[in-house]
Parts: sequence; structure tokens; C-alpha cells
Amino acid sequence: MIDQTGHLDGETMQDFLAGRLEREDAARVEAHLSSCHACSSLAQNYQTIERSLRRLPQEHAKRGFTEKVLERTGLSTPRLYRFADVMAGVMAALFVGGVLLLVFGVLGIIPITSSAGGVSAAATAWNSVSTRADEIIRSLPASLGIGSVGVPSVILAVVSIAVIAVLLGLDHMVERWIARGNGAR
Amino acid sequence: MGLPLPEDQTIETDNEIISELQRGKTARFRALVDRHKDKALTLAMRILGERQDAEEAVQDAFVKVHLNISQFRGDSTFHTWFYRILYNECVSRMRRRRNAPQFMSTNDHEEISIADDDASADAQMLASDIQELIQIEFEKLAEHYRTALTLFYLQELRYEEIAGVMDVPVGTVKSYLFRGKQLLRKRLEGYGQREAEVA
Repeated sequence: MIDQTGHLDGETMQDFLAGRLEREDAARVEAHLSSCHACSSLAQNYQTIERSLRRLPQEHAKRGFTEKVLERTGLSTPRLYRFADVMAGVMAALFVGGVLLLVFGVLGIIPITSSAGGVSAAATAWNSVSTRADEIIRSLPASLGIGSVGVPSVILAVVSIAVIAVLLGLDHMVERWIARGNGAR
Repeated sequence: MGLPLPEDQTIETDNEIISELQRGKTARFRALVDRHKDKALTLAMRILGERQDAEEAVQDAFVKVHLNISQFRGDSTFHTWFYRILYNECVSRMRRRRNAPQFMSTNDHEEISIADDDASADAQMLASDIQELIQIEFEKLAEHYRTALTLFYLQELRYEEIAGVMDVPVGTVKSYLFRGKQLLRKRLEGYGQREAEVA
């Protein structure tokens, strides 16, 4: 317990700090620590180090890590999860289409006009919304450069972004829901 | 996320999942991955130090678990068995790395002088408190110290479990833990002395 230099040996110190000493031995160590500044200081240093070790940062696997492992093991993924992925892909394609329309509209490659005189109710409604949005856009400062842009492409782009955001959020919720169901901690 | 389960309950649930896997319910494998991936990644990062390498090591370990799940007999806890697979994977990756051209030592030498390492000195000057210093110095410890300290203080494994993971006697585990902390203490003292000299 006490080495030749009159101080606690390393093993006793570690066992004391870990609370693994018998009551009598622990009492002897405490008595020594109260009278030996060197050992008391050493014990405090070790306690600080142990506290710091317990606080070392824990790593967190990236989103999709589990899927990667399951892919490598050849295990299938839940249908709901796949559905969300497919829908996100579709909406991403729509978004790209909207952006392309926007660009082509700005460049004047595609003449974008509101098609008045539609035969269906949907076309009429679309025409109404389109005309109203067109008025709003044209009222914006000309310096923004979107006054001449076709309204349908702007609406399509904005709606696509919104839907993608909602789907990504839903996708994330689904993943968390699945992980929670599996008891992830 | 719910409250952490008592250890016995966690072990039981792991074994239940494994029993189901062994009966062919392969979909349950997701539960094992979700449950252990973060702690596994923490251990791999502490050993390997590189995120990409650590993620690949954890993935490989899970794949090996999947391939060998029928061989798990429950003689040890699942996490001891799994960490042993992961530890071996990390060690073999470190060996491969040693054989490849290196730009940095993997710190097999225990006694590294702080004053000899310019990059280390710069990093230490930036470290604002002991926690940061411990983290910096921890990365410089030899692999077996980092592994033992991580398994004991972060994963909260018992001596016997750590011995099972690292395939060494319990006495060696105790020695690794004590020696690792001793090295950290000496390095912190060295830093304190340098600060005093500067002041």
C-alpha cells in the first residue's frame, strides 16, 4: 500500500479512486491522503483525468449509415423508406425541370404565355392563378429581372422546392421512427 | 429516445434479437446496427483516428457479425463479441497502414516529449482547458492504451470484458488503464511546467 518512498503505490491509488478497496484499506488511504500533500495532489490529478476521459466526445454515425450496412449484407430496406427515396427523386426531377423552364424563359428560348381560353376547369383555374401571379411578379422592381419570366416556371420551381423540403423532412422522420423502433440509443 | 435501459435488460434484448436473427428473422439485424453503431464508431475513431477509415471498419465489423451470427453462442455478451471483431478489424487496418507509406507516426513510442513536437506545441497553445489538452494528448497514446481507456471510460465495459475484447489477461488491462492515465498525467505536468517557464 505504502511504497518505499512513503507514498501510496500506483495500484492502491487506482483501486481507491475506482472504489475497489475494502473499507479498512480505504480508511487507511484516506488517512494517508489527509496528511500527505503529494499523494493528495496526485489523487486529484487522476480524478481530473478520469473525469475528462469520461467526457471525451462520442461519435455519431451519419444518416444513412445503417442503410449502407444493410446494403452490404444484402438485407432489404422497408418499403416506406424506399417510397420516400423514390418520391424525393421524382420531386428533384420536377425541381430541375422547373429551373430549366425558368432559365429558358429568361433566355426567351421558350415563349411562355398564359394560355387563355382553356377548355377545362383546371386550365381556367390555372390561368386565373397564373394571371394573378403574373401581376404580382410584374409589380416587382424591374432590376430583379424576373418580370419577363414566365409565371408557370416560377410557380413550378417554388412548389417543387417546398415539396422537396417537406419530403426530406418526412424522410428524416421516417428514419428516426425506424431507428427508435429498433431501440437505438 | 427513451431513457437508457439497465445493463441486464440491454443484454437480454441483444440476445433476444440475436436469437431471432439465428432463427432467420434477418430484418432484425437493423436493430443491432442502430443500437451499436455510435459506440462502435466511437471506439473505431479512438483507435484509427480517421473518420472514413473508422466508418469502413465499423461497416466491415457489422458485415462479419452478419456472416457469423450463427456462431454466436452467448458465452460472452454480444457487445464483447462485437467489440472484439471490431477491435481486430481496426488493428488489422492499423497494420496495413503501417505497411503503407506514412506521413505520421502511429505512436508506438510511449514517451513522447511535448517539447520535441512543434505541431503538438502549437496545438497545446491553442488548448484552452484541461479537457482539450486531455483530448489532444489522448490521441497520441499508443493504440492499446486508447482502446482500453475508451472501453473502460466511454463504453463502460468491465475489466473482464475488456480483456475479452483485446485478448489479454485482466492484469494487463489494469496495467494499460493505469499506464495510460499515468502518461496523460505526465504530459499534463509537462505542459504545466512549460506554461510556468513561459510565464
